Amino acid sequence: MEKLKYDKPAITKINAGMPSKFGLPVKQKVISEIDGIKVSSLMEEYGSPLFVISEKTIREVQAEAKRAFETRYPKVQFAWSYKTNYLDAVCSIYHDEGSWAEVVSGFEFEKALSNGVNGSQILFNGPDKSEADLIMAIENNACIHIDHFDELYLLIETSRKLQKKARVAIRVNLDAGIYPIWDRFGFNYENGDAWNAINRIMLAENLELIGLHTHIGTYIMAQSAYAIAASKLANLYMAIHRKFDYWLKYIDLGGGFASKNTLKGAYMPGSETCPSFDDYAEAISNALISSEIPHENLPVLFLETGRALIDDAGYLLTTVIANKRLNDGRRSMVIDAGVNLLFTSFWYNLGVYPTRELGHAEESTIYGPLCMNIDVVRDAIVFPQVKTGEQLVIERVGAYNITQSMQFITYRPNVVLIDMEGETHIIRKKESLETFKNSELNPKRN
Amino acid sequence: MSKTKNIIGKEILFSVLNSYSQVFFSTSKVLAAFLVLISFFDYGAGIGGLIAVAIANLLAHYLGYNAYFLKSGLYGFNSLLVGLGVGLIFQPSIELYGLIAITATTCFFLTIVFQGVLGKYGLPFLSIPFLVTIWIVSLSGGQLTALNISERGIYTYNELFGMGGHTMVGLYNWLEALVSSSFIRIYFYSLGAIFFQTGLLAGIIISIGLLIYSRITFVLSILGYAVSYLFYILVGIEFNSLSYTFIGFNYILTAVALGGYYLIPGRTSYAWIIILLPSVVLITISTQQFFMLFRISPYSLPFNMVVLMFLYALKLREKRPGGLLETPVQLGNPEKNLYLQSGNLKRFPARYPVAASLPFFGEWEVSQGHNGEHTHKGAWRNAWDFIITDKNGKQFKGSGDFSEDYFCFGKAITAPFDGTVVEVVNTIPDNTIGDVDTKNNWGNTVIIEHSYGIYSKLSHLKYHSIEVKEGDHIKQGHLLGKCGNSGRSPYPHLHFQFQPTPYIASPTLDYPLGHYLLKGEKYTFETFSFPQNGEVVANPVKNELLAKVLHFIPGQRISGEFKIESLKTGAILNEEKFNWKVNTDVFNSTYLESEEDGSLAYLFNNGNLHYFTNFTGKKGTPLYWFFLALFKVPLGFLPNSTIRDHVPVNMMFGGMLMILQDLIAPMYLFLKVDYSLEIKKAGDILSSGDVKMTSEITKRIAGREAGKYDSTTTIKENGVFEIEIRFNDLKIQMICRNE
Repeated sequence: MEKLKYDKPAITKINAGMPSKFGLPVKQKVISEIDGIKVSSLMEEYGSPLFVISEKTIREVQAEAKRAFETRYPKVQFAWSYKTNYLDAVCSIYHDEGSWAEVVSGFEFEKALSNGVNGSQILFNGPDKSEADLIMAIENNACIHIDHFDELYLLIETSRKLQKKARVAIRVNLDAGIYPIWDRFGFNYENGDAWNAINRIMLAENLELIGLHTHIGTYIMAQSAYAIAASKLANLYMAIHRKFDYWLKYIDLGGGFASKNTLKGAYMPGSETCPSFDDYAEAISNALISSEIPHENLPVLFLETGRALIDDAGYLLTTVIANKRLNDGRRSMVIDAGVNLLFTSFWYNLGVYPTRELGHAEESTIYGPLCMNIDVVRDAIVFPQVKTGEQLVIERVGAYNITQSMQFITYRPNVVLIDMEGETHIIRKKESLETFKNSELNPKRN
Repeated sequence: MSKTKNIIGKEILFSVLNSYSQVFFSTSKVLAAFLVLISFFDYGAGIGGLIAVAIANLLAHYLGYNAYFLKSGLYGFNSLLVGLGVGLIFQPSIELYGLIAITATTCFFLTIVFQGVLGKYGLPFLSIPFLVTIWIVSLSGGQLTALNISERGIYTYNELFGMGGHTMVGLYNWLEALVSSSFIRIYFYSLGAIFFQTGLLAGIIISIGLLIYSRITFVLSILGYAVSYLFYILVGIEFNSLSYTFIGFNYILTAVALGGYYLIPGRTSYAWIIILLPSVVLITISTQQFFMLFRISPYSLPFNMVVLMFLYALKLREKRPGGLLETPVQLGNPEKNLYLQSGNLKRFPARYPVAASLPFFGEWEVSQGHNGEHTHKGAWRNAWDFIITDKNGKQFKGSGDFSEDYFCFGKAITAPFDGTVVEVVNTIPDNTIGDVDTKNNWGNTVIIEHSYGIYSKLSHLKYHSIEVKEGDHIKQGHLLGKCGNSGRSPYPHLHFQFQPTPYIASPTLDYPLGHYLLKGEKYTFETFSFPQNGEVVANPVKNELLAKVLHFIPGQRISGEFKIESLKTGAILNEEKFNWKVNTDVFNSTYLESEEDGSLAYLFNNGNLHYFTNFTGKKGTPLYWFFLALFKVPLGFLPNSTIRDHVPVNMMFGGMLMILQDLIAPMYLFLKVDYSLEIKKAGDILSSGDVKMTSEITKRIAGREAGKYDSTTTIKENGVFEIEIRFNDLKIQMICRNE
């Protein structure tokens, strides 16, 4: 008989209370392997902490999203939202799945070009486009989504100087029946700014208006908001046809689909409450198909979904550094990955799981390794007792965490991709002192 | 000025010549020349015929009848026959030509009347106007005392001597001695009799003319004659009656008309000639007996009766099985009709007026095809069931215990084709999974009338999801409702069928889908085809650039440069500039016309597919290569998808090989031209970017490769075509742009 494991004694408040409608607490979830590869062997090979991205999950989720839309609407095109995760290896998978690129800066634009994306298949969003950026966009025949009048004027000026046509769309902000209304980007629909901008563009010599874009917000949990946004854009689309006898080519509903992560303060887990791709697709395509747009002139539907596509494909593997008992008796632990790597921990109650069955759980706080008070990964999580060196997995970290991770206090870790064949590849190397020496300059003093 | 005169002169000449060859359903100028020649064997009748044609055509012109029919001789040939016939009854005289002028006028108006009346039923007027007129004259013949009944045909040698002296008499005697078989003699007599000629020579000349015009027509003339000859022997009708009146031309004309002209020539049409001709014989014999009472001949009455009867009967068919097909586009030549048709029966819109698309968005899988294993049996065998599957072949997520788990459930169902909604059932609840509602077999259903006798039915829709109502006129792609699980449906799926009646329980119709993309390793573009069980299919998305540049608008002009280069020596063999114009004809066919050499390339564009239907004119011209390179191009396409077809063989073969093929064409085609086109680059979903495609044309003789043409076409965003064709060691380069 194997020797029983020793568990430190602990006093746990009996907290039977009212049983929730979901019954008794479920079994502790364990993530011991990713796509068939043991977490322990991944960490052994690539170190800790470690970002792991599953190509299989990326492709499966993308296929699910595609099917949801393409079986409901005749012309659908996804554009990979670069800012969500712009590692070249990740972008390449999306481009391989047929996605265009959605970029919000000159840097992302250059990155998309270097990933082999045809310039005409880049949607250029964002409030910050310099003249140089606009020149690059025009030269590459990209779809420029104009954010404000000053950009419009600059674009008119730039295209005139270049003597080249620019393909443009405008970003529209609108009241989709949700709070908050994002009105800082684009031209407002309700007060007529959008219509004003459209008229100016239609009359501008070197601008070719080809689409309408909106992005109603992020982590939108009501699909009805998309239906409202789609029908408002459909109205504009028809108004343009009526006035100019001209059909635009596309309507872009941006991103903002919720992933299955659970927002802080949410009562129920996100996986239960967030709409599925089918729900979003149903709302959007119904709104467009039953709008007054004649079906033979239905525009191409663009989607810039980022978060909902990749969140599930990203894992962060981490190791317990220390256990601590806080003053109030609550248990806490320190792990080697903190908010420097987990930007989304500010929004979500991230799922942190052990890699093997452990003993009884109690409410704990999980701190990151930074010497900063804000470095809290989870305030309160019911977690089993662990020893130092225990390996943990944080799931659903594919979106934003890698692009927004900070180089702060410590080096950023390896990012590893598990490909379709189950092979692992480093897709971004761990930082080292060299990384910094390469870009830092130290003026010589006499 | 002189150019206009030339054109008018040419038009007049054509309308006269075509009036002659039209007697054999032809517009061949060679045949016409032969026929004019033999009509003048009797100069009196020859002049009479010419006068009659002139009068009919002048009337048609000045009274403002259709210029196309005029030019193709359709208004003239009945009057021609009347002129020849009347000219033979009486001795040449001023009075006779007066009479011919009057009868030609009568005949012309009868032509117009019969064209109008029979045209309503889509039938030709054949030689009915002639029949009526010639009977009028024959019956009144005895009373016209100022005209002398002709004595020709009695003193044969005298007439021959008058025509060509000793030589003619010598030729006559030689021929008489040469052709001794009565079978062959009567054949030539019968042929000659069509032009009221009595000698062997006329028949021989006509048969040579026929052989030059069309090998199939020639073979048919013999076949028709031989079958009736055998029937005469079989039932023991006195054979001399055939030789005496030469009424045998009825059999020849019937065989030519039905065997290869109004129907596509083939084994089936030949077989029908064999079946039908005995009845022509019987009608001939009986009408002869009857008309004897009036001392007139039935002339071509039996031919007219049988051809009209058969064509009308065929028209009332509900389906058009492949074997026996009315000529969809009359090219005026049996070979051309056959080769065009043999290329791909499916291309012709005349056969399938309803070009349906798939009634949904995205990729669906056929879970039960025609003659399916579960429920598509008996009268309901021609139906499809569609579901959505993921890449592992599963059709639901989760446990599949609920309708909502199924990928297809709740997905939009759209109209397959334009039409009127004739029936809507919207109130049957969806089943729980596994249960079936056999009481309301079809569940929630929409039935749409697309065309006379062609309805489509979409069934098992979702409870209360139907958004159209009875009487709605809808267009292809219109949202009908949602895919559901009502009626006899154990799990959610769409049932789709064509049917001949508007009723819910109607049997099905064996009718194909107009076009769809078939998923395989690559996508193939299928036209007028039937998706099979297990196939994954999707609607193509139209490429705006292709749709725009291949939409040729009448009046549009295209110009460009053309260059042939030898790859071996690098020498430029030919370099020219060309100009084309887009035109339409009376049949609403669009064609490209070369201003340099007058060649025409007919094309068709149904909004989903562009293809050339025919090419006339000189081979090897820029337009010819354009025709071949872009023979068939779908407008909705995915990169790396392929489409296949066959180019009519007469477009690419010639010489003895072709004559041989013509002779046996209705039985077997040993020549073949394969065409396949692959889209390499099709721009993106916004249709920006060039389209690049390659086509491969392979000539085959009895299956063996006999020549290959590779072409690459790039269509630039500004609509310029860049075409490069390679074959043997030649390279052709062409650039076409809109003016």
